[in-house]
Amino acid sequence: MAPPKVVSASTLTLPSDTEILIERSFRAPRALVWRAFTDASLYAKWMGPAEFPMTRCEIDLRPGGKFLYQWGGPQGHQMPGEFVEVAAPRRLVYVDTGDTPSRITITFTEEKDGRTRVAFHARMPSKAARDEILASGWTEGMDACYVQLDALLPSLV
Amino acid sequence: MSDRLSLTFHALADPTRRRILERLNRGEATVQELADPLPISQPAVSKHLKVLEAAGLVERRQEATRRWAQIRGGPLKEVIVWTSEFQRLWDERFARLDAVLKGEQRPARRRARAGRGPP
Repeated sequence: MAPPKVVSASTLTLPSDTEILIERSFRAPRALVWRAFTDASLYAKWMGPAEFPMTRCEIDLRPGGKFLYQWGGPQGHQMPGEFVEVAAPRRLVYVDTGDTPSRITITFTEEKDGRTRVAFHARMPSKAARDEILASGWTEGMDACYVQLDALLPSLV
Repeated sequence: MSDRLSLTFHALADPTRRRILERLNRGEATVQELADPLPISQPAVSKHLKVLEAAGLVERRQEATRRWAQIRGGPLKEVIVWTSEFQRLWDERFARLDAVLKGEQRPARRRARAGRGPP
């Protein structure tokens, strides 16, 4: 699948040393946007690098319920976490328990013309962790390359 | 991340300092002019200006008895470069999400036309 044309329609702000806030409006009703964030079959379609789709997407959508996302094979990159608050279709709170722990709050707000505004707010335990997450823009592409390399290596031995 | 960038992030992390920068973005100002619309004292504004100055975001000059502050764009550009890759990552995800949302709405409309509700 060719990557879709990207128009920078999001706004990114850094409310404090330990926070990141990204906001974006979507042309879809709130109930559907909520589903795209919480239904494993839909979430797997858009999360993660286009050239490297999710291979495992498990979502136990309830407070205390776990989620696990994986890219690549058994040695691939994993993102585990736990849901804290599930207030459909308005608010979703979870903790990312992976390499860089963070608490994510996603707020879904209805707009005019049937649009939905999504506010993705991340809070990290320290400034260092926040900067690391910001740096993920640079490192995620690298991760994908490494995982592809992992998959390729056995065939070369 | 460079120390210079850390200083910039620290300086930008405070909402009052961001308001000061927004004001300075419209033109040079004195401490008095900066303090007027803010609910804080002139000495408090001076403190914030020192932090902004240390981060290279503000430059100050003396003219007779008045001291002017003006915005410097360089460090802001560094921050934009640093965060733009992260934003690009999310913009790519969101563009794919746009496609997913569009795809999900098509069958719903067809069902509605056929006189059947959603499953």
